[in-house]
Amino acid sequence: MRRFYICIILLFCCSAIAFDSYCQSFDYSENSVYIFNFIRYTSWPNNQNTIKIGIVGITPVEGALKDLISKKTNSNSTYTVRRITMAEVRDVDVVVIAQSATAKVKAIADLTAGAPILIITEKENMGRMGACISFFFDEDNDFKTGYQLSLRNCKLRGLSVNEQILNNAELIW
Amino acid sequence: MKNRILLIVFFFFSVINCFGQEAKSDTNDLTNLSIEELSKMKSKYKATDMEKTITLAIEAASHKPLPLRKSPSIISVITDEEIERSGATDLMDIFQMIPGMEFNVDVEGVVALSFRGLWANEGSISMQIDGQEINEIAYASLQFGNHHQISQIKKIEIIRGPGSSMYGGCAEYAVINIITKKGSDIKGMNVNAIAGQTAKTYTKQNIGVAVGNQHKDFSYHAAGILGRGQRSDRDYRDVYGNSYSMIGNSDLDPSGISAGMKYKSLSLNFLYDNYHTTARDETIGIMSKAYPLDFVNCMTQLKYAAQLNRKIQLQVRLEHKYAEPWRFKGMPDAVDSLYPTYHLKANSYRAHVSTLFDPLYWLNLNIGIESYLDNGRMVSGQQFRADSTDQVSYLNVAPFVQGLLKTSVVNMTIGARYDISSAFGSAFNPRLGVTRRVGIFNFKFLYASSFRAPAIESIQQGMFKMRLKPQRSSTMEFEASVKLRKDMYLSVNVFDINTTDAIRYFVKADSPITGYPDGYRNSRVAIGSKGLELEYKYKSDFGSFNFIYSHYSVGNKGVDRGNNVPADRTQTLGIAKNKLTIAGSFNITPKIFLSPSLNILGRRWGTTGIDSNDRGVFSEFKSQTTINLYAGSSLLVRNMTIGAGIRNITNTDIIYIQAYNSLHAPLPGMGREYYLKISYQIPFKKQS
Repeated sequence: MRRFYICIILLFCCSAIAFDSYCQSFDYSENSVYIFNFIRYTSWPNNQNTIKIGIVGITPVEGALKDLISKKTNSNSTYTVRRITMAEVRDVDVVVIAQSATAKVKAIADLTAGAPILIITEKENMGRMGACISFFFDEDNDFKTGYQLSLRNCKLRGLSVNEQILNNAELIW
Repeated sequence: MKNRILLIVFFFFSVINCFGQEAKSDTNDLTNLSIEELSKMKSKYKATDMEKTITLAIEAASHKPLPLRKSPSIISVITDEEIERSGATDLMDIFQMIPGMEFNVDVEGVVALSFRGLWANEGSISMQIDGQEINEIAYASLQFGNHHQISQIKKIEIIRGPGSSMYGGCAEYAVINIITKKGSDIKGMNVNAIAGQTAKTYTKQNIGVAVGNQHKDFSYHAAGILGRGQRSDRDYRDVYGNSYSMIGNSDLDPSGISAGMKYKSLSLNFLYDNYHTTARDETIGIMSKAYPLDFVNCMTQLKYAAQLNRKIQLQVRLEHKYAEPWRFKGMPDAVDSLYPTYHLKANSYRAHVSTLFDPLYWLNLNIGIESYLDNGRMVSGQQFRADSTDQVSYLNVAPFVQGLLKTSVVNMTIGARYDISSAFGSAFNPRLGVTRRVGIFNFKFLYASSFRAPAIESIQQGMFKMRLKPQRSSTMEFEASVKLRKDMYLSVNVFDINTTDAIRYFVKADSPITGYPDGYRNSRVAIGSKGLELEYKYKSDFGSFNFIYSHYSVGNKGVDRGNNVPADRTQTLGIAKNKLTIAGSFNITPKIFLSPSLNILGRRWGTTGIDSNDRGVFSEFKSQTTINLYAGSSLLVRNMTIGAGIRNITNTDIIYIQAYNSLHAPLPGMGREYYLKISYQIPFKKQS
């Protein structure tokens, strides 16, 4: 019986390889609408009329966001979207980190520690790295796009999110 | 060991393929949608069959439907497609594939379930059809074998663990929730038939009809079954060595009607089930001829479930159940006159009111109360044993509360139900469930207290008129599962069950002579089991493959006279420690599939004789292997599904061993069986 238990444990160890190869892909135009709504329903300590969105890494969400913002002419706030480098992350209000730039999440969070910057990642489970919101592929909800929200990270940055965001979030530490 | 290494290598290579989903583009204008609206949008992702299975919303495990992996229970789900492809013709065929479940004989030809090494009939497993409990009222038992109409099953949810904190005193070890097809599923008329034959006799011949449709907010359905079947084509030999052929002496004849309608939030369901059986085996010996033994259940449910506002949902259920269980009628021959006529008419009235409330974004609350009144009346001049009256009533009231908490670390379920009964006092049953998903892994830690409430007859047949206490159990479970690939899923769970005050029925072999009564009593010994269950599922375009293994051991827990195997202290009477099921379903052509299955039960112990002190003589039974094959098609003829199968190909001597020490010899099952299944659908025209 002991051998059997060992086999089961090995099976789970093998499956850890699958965990690394678990690739996600989103509908980026949908994600851009989510990001736009996150910004709409987040309060910054100093109410700002212009929200600067910085994209780290290459992601189709950049184009989708630019496209979306160009259509939002009636909004009271102004939005700008541009790709940024690590050196520029403190100069924006929102940082969107592409899946390909996931390795930089921790460094960006450290660089902007305490600053009122909403960090959004395309990779899930980045709350422990300092992200405020992380997208994930919600298999338990008809395979829709879902998002994890770290209230703790938002609070540390002086950001408050309202019920619109909370109601649909999977809360993470 | 070599084979195991190969297995691991197989898994290793099977998981290294990356399964990224293709990027999707969107041309629709989403820009004006809110988060709420976005979250309600239909997903464009094309999920695999396996993904659909493991993400099905489960209703039975918590009052709020949750996906399988988030549900705070160990769960097996069987869909109508899986039932069809397996070639199953009966619930027994389906439950044989469930980890830990095994069939054992009770008395009088009745076969029922044991679970995780423990006899689980008479109130330890709650079986429900569309939320209505179908355990009979007298003993709370279940009867299997060509009984229920499986063509009408849409989905079966099996909670492989306690359910008393939700369902009360019939759900100590497990809950089976059968969800049937409604008007929106049938959308027309369906006629189906099953016919099976061995070399010696017929096995079952059933015909079923269903009709149903949906028009806007209104839907209706009606279904019926009529048939006949037999338990076995072998000979039964009792503990005294007397025997008879079960051909013509073990009828299993189902007949029943179910009907329902739904308009918006209001639904009305009705079920009539008349299960006619014949039995020559009684509690110990055999009778001179087979006598009819019938089980009649007639249930009505009125349900109102409405979303009052965005945060509050109200559910009101009123149920009535009329039953004539274990109806043993006719005038037995003089030689059998010690086995009297039994005719009980029982009614159960149940009311349930609950609310589902989302006061905070991280909290869902379910608060409610359930009450039922069981009433039993003996007819034909008989009386209940303890109260010497022909009529008894017991009232049960149970408030309950459950909270689903979404925290940043884990999802938690905390709940409790407090049953107060006029029959046995009270029973408090708390539960705690913690679930956590990490990427492709999912973990569950579960604890629950549960109980088996004494039913009308167990109250009345207490040995020496003793007042029975509820049988209590506490169960701990841990499950780890992993979605290895989009089409591959593995789950492993361990469990530990401790049961105190086990309600046992003891038969004294010479009671007809001495007058010493048979009867129920609470066992003084704490019993239980612990073990492991493993399920590996692979479902792809080629078909599916399931590997299911379960193991239990008594370990350091107690055994009493009721389930003791003197020669093996790690095992309980009649129940195999190890069970393995391997089942596949492979598409031979786009229109034809082939479904082989293998079921192995490890060695078992059962009573085969009686010694000079009227004590049972135990014998060891070697492992039992059954192999089945089914070939079917759902597209060969338009609107028709047809299939043929062979069950028990090797003609193994299948036996159902009594799982408690009551001197009933093992009951034979069916030999090699050839069968046909056919179903024809007449779709209704769509409304313009």
